[in-house]
Amino acid sequence: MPLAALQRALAQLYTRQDARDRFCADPAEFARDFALRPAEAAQLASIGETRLHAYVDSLDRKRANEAARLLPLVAQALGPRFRAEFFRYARRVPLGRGPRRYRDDARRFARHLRGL
Amino acid sequence: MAAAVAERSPLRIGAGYSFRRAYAAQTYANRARIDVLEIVADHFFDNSKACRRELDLLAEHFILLPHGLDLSLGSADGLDEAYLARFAEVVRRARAPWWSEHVAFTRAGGIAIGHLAPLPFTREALEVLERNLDRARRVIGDLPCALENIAAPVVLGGAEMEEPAFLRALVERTGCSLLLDVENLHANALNFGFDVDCYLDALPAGAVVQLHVAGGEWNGATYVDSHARAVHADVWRLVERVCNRFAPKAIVVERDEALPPFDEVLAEIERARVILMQAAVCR
Ligand SMILES: [Fe+2]
Repeated sequence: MPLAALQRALAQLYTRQDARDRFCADPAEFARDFALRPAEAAQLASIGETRLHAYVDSLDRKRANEAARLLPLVAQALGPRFRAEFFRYARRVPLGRGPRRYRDDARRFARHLRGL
Repeated sequence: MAAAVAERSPLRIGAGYSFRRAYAAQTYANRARIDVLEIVADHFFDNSKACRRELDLLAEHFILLPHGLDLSLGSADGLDEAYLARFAEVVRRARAPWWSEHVAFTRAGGIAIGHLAPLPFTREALEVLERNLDRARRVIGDLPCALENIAAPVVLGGAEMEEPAFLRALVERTGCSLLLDVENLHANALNFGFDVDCYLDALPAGAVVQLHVAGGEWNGATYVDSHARAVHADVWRLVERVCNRFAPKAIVVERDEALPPFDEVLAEIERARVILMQAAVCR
């Protein structure tokens, strides 16, 4: 199942900063970690860092929008700091799973803010 | 195999929008001007009595098109059965003419990506989609489904075909219909520089049952389908061309962020309806 391995590698790249760091440092090594065949390794490398980072930013923006929707008063109180702080948080904490994941995310972010 | 939409619902339905709870009151108040409502199935997964009643009430007043975001039909790992069961329940309660999802994956190796990620256009990806769609249909039942083209944030190399050929093969293998997101097509054409007419030429004409239209914006050198703006004039022109070619049954306006006064949404629905009906007359 080469596609399954490729998708696992992609999911890591899209959601984990440490995975992106490893990929950008050494794409071939990263591909080996996921036991990708040369064809899939080439597919992975073909994405390009610019597009990858633009995609990750858009995923983070979506998470921030959901968090702002769920924590409207916090977003209002913090103004532009809300997003800045959220992006810092999102680099470290990936989105969870399940239908409540945005609610869980907002809750975790609230806890993160309390810890500041 | 589930019957294609064309056989099951021969009538043209009209135009509507992707339902937002913030607009609930205006939606009911203006129901004479809304032919159809798309509902994001994930927004109705809360199994509370209130949520079920809300869905039943919507189904009493509108034709509903349930739209999934996270079924992840493209996951080589297979479907999440708990998600599928919830999705099927919403589809059942909505009494819909068809349901829709995306040509994408959102999950792999236990990780939720949080958004639609593109598939490589390969035969293996087609096999995965076919297998997962087959499983989904066993649970959802014999109702047509329409699969949507996504706005590609990245393009994976190693494609064995172009996207429209991939969609054509998908239709041939599974008997699914297509939900053509005109904004996504517009965004992909701008970002990756391909010819929209060639794309449309290669699509299976009879399979396009529904359109999405939405607004986007430039973010640096990338055009993003933000769903936070009014529909662009270029996209309206593209909608006209698509309607003249494919005679879809329904057009759904998507607006997810920066929700405007509802009159603006109604105006876009009206414009979509006029295009749809004029195309019908011309044919
Ligand atoms: Fe769409």
